[in-house]
Amino acid sequence: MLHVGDLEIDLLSREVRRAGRLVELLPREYHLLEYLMRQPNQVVTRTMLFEEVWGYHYDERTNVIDVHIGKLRRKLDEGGLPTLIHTVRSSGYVLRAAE
Amino acid sequence: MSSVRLSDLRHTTSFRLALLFLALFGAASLTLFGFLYWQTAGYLKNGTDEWLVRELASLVAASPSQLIEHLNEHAARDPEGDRPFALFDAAGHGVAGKVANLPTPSPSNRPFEFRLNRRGGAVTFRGLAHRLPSGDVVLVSQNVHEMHEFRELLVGAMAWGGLLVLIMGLAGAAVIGAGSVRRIDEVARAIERIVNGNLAERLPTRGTAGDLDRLVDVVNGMLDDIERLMHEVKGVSDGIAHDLRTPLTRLLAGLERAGRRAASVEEFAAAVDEAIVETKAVLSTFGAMLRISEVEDGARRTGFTTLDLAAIAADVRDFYEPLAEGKGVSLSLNDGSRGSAKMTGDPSLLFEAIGNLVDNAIKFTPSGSRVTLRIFRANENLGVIVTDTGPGIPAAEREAVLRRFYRAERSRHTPGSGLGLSLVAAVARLHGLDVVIDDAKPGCRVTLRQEGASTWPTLALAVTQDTRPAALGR
Repeated sequence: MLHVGDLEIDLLSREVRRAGRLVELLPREYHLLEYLMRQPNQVVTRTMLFEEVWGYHYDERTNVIDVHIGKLRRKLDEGGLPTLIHTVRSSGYVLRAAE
Repeated sequence: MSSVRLSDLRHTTSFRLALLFLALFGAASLTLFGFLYWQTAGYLKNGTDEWLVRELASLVAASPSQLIEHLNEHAARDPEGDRPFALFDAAGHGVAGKVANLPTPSPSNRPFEFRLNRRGGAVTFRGLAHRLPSGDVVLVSQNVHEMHEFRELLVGAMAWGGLLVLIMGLAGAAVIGAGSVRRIDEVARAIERIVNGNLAERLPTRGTAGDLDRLVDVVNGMLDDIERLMHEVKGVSDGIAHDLRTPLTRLLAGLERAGRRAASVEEFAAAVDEAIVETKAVLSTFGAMLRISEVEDGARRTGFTTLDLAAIAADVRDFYEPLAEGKGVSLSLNDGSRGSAKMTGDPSLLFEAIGNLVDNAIKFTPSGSRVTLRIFRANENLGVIVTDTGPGIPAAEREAVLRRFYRAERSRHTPGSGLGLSLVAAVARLHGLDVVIDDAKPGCRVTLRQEGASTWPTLALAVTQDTRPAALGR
């Protein structure tokens, strides 16, 4: 089990809960979240995400990763909850518990 | 310039070759002629000698009285004295026959040559003498003047013939050499013009399939390539100049504006952020250029592994699906490889290339239409097809879009460096894949297929076979 604020994921059953509510994620979204959960409060660059989650090594320059993060963020924040995944301008993302 | 310098002529290959052949031919003819001369002269001499031996034997066999009779009869038959027989006493004085004195050297049972005066001139005779038991000497001989003349004629003919051949050979070598000097001069002048910057110039050919023409054809082919590359480099420099000047101008304008008008820290921060975005775009263009040269370098081939093209296509689909979804474009994957999509290559590069194609397709396809990613196998050759239902690429621009910085006029307003398709082309080249852009009616279809892959009919068949399940499934 990994916890960040009111978000928790079960590494065995691959279940994700936000404030006790079960969140349905696609396999790729789960990988993305797991990677972010493993380094909370640290800035993760798009390149790191791309290499870790998709497993290909090159300097991805499109905004596709932002789109993936956006989808994940919407699923986690459903119901007007404060956002957990913050965009760090011109470098990447950070997963931080809402205050 | 049309007169050929002698010093040049001497050094031309064709002139030297012609001389060499002349020398070889001369040596061969000399040998042949010598052999002929030797055989002919030998034949004539042997005929004479045999006749001498025969006649002498019949004279020696006769008794002394018969011998005188024979000699007189013979002399009567030979009024010209061309075949004089004679008998000499022991002291060498003529007893009978047409020879007054025994010629020197003295008889030795071997044919010898001597000279006699005939009709006012010395004429050569060939004779054979024999000393009888009585001490007298019998001589038979024959005029060999004609034989000598014949031999001299032969030698003379050879000498004149040789001289003629020598003159003709030298003249021929000079003509051929001069031709090649003129030819080389033409080529050299053409090369000088090319070196001086006229890259459109080509070396002159004569239209014959000669060795120099073959060489000229190869060099002209090389020049075509160089010219094309120069144009490409020029296109790239123009592209760099154009694509980098715009963001740099914007950057400068933004900074100047901030310097003049920004009043608060927030306004400065906003200006800095804008500047960062512009700078990043410039850097990313440079990055893309470096990446293309890195891929074109071919060094990446050392990192090749066996990979599954269908799996990479599935990853591309997964990666771009949210983007397509966000734009209202349906992105579908159809695997027609029947489970054998293995090939050697660099997975990241292929992901990037296929991803670029899909990204472009999504970018240029209006919302509500679809993009299809398809893996196919035609015969033994794998391929990927990305089809969209967007505006398509006009036939005239299909080759150009693979070049660096080329952007179709209507794509100028969309973001991007214009390097995406050239990267695809570079990756394809590295993997031995052909890039084919054609019309999907409507839309654009880009195919990456293994080189030498099938003829189009079979491929078209594979494509149509693949289309049905794609339309029905998903």
